[in-house]
Amino acid sequence: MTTVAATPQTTALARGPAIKRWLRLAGRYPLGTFGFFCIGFIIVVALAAPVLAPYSPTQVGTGLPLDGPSADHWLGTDQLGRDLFSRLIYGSRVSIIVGFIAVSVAAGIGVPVGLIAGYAGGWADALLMRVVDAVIAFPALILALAIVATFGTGIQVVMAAIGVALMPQYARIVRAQVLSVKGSDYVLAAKAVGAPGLRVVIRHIAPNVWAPVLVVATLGLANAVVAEASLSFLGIGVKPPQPTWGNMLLDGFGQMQRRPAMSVAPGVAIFVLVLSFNFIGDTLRDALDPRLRGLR
Amino acid sequence: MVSFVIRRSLEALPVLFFVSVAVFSMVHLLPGDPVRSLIPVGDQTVDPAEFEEAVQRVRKEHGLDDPLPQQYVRWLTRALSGDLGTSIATKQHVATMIRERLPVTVSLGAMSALISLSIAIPAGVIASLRRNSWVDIVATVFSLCFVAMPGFWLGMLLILVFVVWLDVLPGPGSYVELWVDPWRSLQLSIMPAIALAGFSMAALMRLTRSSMLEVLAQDYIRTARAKGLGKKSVVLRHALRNAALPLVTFLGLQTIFVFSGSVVIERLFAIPGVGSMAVDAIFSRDFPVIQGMVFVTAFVVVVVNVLVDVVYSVVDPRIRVGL
Repeated sequence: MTTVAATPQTTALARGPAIKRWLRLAGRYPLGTFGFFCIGFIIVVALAAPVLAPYSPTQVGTGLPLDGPSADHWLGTDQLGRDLFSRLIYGSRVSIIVGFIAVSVAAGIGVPVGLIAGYAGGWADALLMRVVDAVIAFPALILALAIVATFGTGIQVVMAAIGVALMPQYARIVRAQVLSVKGSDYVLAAKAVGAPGLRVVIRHIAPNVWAPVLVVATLGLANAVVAEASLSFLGIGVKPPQPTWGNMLLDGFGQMQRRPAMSVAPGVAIFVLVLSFNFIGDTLRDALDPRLRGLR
Repeated sequence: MVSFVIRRSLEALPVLFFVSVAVFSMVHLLPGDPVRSLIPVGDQTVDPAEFEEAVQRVRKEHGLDDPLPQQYVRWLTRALSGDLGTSIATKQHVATMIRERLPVTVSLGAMSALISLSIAIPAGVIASLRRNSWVDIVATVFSLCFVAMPGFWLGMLLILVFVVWLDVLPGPGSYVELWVDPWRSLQLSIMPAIALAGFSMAALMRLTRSSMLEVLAQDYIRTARAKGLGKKSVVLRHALRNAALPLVTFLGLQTIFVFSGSVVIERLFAIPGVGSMAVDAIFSRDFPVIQGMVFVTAFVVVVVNVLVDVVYSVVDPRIRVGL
C-alpha cells in the first residue's frame, strides 16, 4: 500500500549530489535527523570524555562539597566534592555501552530463536515460543531484578539482564516475518533446487528480517537506557563510584532539599538520549515498513 | 467460545511450567552453596564446626539432598498451596508479606490507570478529530516527551516542583492507606500515581489517536455520516466503540507497567508495596522474598494475558477464528 506509493519519492531522493540528497532526506524526516545528530553528539562526548571532562569523574574533593555552579565547576559539585559536569560527561559512556550491548544480547538470542521457531514450525516452534512467553511473563524490571539478585550487581550483569528481558520482542517479530515469507515463491524455488535448510534460512529468509529488527533494536536502545538508569537509581545497577546518569540521580535525590538542581541535568541527559532513539526508531519504522506502525 | 477459552488456558500451562522452573532454579544458580544463602548472616560468624552442622541441618530441613526434580515438585506443590517460604530478614511467611503489600501496589496501579485513561482517551480522540491542528500537535509533543521520560525522573521532578519549591504536597514517606485517612493518602499517592502513569498515558494517547484515525477512514463511518447522523453521534456511537478495542490490550499491559514501574516508584516515594519489598530484599539478601515476589508477579501476568485474550475474543469475534 504505502510502500508502493513511497517508491517514486525514494528514487527521487537518490538523485542529485550527496549533500542535496542528505538535505532532502533531513527535510523529509526532521525528527529522525534531530535524533541522529543528538545521538552522534552524545557518542562523540562519550568517546572524547577524557579530553572534555575538566576533572576525573571519581576524584573526591575537587571543590567544596555541594557547591553551586561556578567557572571551575559548571554544574557544581556533589556531596563528596566530585565535579558534576565531569561525571555527566563520563555517564554517557555507561548509557551508550549498556544500550548497545544489551540490545546486541537481545537480538543475538531473539533473532536465531525467531528464525528457528518460524522456519522449523511444529513442536520446536511451540516449545521455543512458550519459553519466550515465559520470559514475557516477567515484567522487564522484575526480571532484571531477579537476575541481579541471583548473579550480583555490576555492569556486565546489568547488560545481560536487560538483554534477556528485551529478547522476546525480537523472537516474536522475526518469527512473524519468517512465517510471512516462508511460503513465498522464491523460498519454494530455493528448496526445490535442493538448497539445505540452513542455507535457505540464511540466504533467503534472514534478509527479509533485518528491517523490523532494526526498528525494534533502535526502540530497544531507548528501553535499555531507561532500564539501566532505573537499576542504577535503585543502587543495584552499575556499581558506584563509576558515574552513570542513574546513580547521579540517586545522589541528587539524597540532596533534593539542599541542591535541587542536582536532580535535573542527568535526567535531561537520559531524556534527550531516549527521545533521540525513539525519533530514529519511529523514522526508520515509517521509512522501512509502514505496516509496523502499531508497534510498541 | 468455550473451546477458545479452554484452548487459550491450556496454552498458558506450559508457559507457567517454564516460569516456575525459572523461578525454582534461581536458588540453584546462586553462586556458591544455596544452603549458605539460606542461613541468616548472623549465624555465619559462629565457629566452623557449628556452622557446618547448621549447614547440614538446613540442608536436611529444606530437603536439598534430594534429586532436583523431586525438590522442584515439592517446591511447586508448596508454592501452589500458598507456601512461598519464610523471609530470612523478617522471619515472616513470604506469602503473608506479599498479601499485606499487594493492596498498596494495586491501589497505586489502579489510580495511575485511572489518571492515564481519563487524560489519554479524550486527548487521543480530540487529536484524531482535529488532525494536524494545534491540539493534535500539543498532544503529540506531550506524548513524545512522556514516552521518553523515565518514570522515576518524572517523579523526582514532581517532588522538586510540588514539595521543594511550591510546598503544597507532603514529601515522600509516612505512607497511610486509603481506608485509614483518605485525604492524606490521596495527597501522598497523587505524585507516584502520576509518575507511574506518565509512560502508559503517552502510549495510550498515541494508540487511541491512531486507532481512531483508522476507524474514521472506514466506509461505515462515511455511511453513518451520509445517512445524516450528526458528527457527535458518529464519533461516540460508531467510531469510539471500535477504537476502544486496543483498550483491552492496554489494561493488560498496564499490569506489567505497574509491576515494573512500582519497583522504582515505590522506592522513590517510600511506599510499602511489593516493589519496594523486592528492592529491600535484594539489599538484605533475602532470597525467598525475591523468589516469591517474582513468582507471584509472573503468575499474575500470565493469568492477565489469558484474560485479555478471552475478553478480546468476546469483544471482537474475528480473533477466535484467527487464532
